Amino acid sequence: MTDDDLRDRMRRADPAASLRPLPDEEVRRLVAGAALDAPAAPRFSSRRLPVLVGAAAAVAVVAGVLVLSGGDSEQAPRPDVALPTSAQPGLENGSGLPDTSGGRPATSAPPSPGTSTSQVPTTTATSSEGRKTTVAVLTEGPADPNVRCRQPEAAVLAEAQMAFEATVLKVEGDVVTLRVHRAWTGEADVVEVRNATGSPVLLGFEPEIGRRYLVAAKDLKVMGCGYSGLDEPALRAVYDEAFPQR
Amino acid sequence: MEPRQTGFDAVAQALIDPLRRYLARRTDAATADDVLSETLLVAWRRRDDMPAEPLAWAYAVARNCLANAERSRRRQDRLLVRIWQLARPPEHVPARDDPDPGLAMALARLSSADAELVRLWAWEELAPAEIAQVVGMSANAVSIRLHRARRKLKSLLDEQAEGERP
Repeated sequence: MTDDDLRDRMRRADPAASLRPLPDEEVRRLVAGAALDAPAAPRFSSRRLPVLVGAAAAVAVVAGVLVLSGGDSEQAPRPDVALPTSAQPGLENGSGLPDTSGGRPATSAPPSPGTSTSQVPTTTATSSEGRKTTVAVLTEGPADPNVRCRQPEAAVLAEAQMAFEATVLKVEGDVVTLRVHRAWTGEADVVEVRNATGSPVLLGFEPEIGRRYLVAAKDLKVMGCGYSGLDEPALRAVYDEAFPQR
Repeated sequence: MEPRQTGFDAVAQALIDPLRRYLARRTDAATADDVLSETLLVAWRRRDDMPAEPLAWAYAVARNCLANAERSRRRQDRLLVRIWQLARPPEHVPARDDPDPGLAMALARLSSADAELVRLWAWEELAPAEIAQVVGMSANAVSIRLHRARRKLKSLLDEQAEGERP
């Protein structure tokens, strides 16, 4: 009996030979669950969460590669709003980031003209395997209750530097953590949204653990007015149209 | 356009089926599901350690998670395990639906470490350097042990074949 004969015989007796591949949706759910504290997390939680808020919420992208141009300096977060995410109690475990590099600023993002890098704490750290970890902090302008939003338009959304689908992993105090699954533009593994105001709305974005959202950000601001919201076919179609295959 | 997958998702999704097969070969379905979730969780937490070719690394994570699950179960059911060990028949008895009982019996006569090397070689189709990464040995040591284990397994199978001849 040769080695090949032996391997053939073992393959014929492979207990996993009849194992069928998992459906894509189940695979995605499993991977999303990996970032939850409890590995076998339910797909949806019935727990309703406080709605986050508009003015001056900050989004911190704590892993992956994200390239953002600078934002309006008036809207840029104050240094105390910037989130060194690994320092947030409870976040380090959820994100799984190592204490040595997770979320801590290392270098500044390239600023766009007229933007002060000190007010744009977009940061990058590179892991040993060459993958980058980037932290970016985004803010959004105060929502004007008198402004009526029009239907989202692809041309407007196309200006976003960051557009992704993500599942809400957890809400702790004023920080919402989202797990990014796919990105039309920009790249991240985890996004953290901080509500710095205590006001109860984040541009109509109601973070519910386990639910999937589409989120866009432009000039360090989360895009509201219907551009970020539940992952629904109508909104997804706008994302698909805004970011055609290049 | 279709959104592209971000780093960890893309890698982890590609690992799921190999990990499911790895676990299905080594434990029952319920434990395999639990250990798969645990393996993905650990992989996520340690994703900065994940090498560019992550498969053997992922098997090593799964192997540790499976060992932990089994240790935990042993701790919880210590008494039952003791009874099971006392009642355990001295010879390996293959499952009724085992497609090749002779092979299962021969594998059971190898040391568990040697049998695992052969499984990783035949079922996971890993090279000695990859097996070394999974089991935490040097590639050289794996090559030597794997060679001996295969030789012993073939000899056991030959013995069986001899015994079955009229």
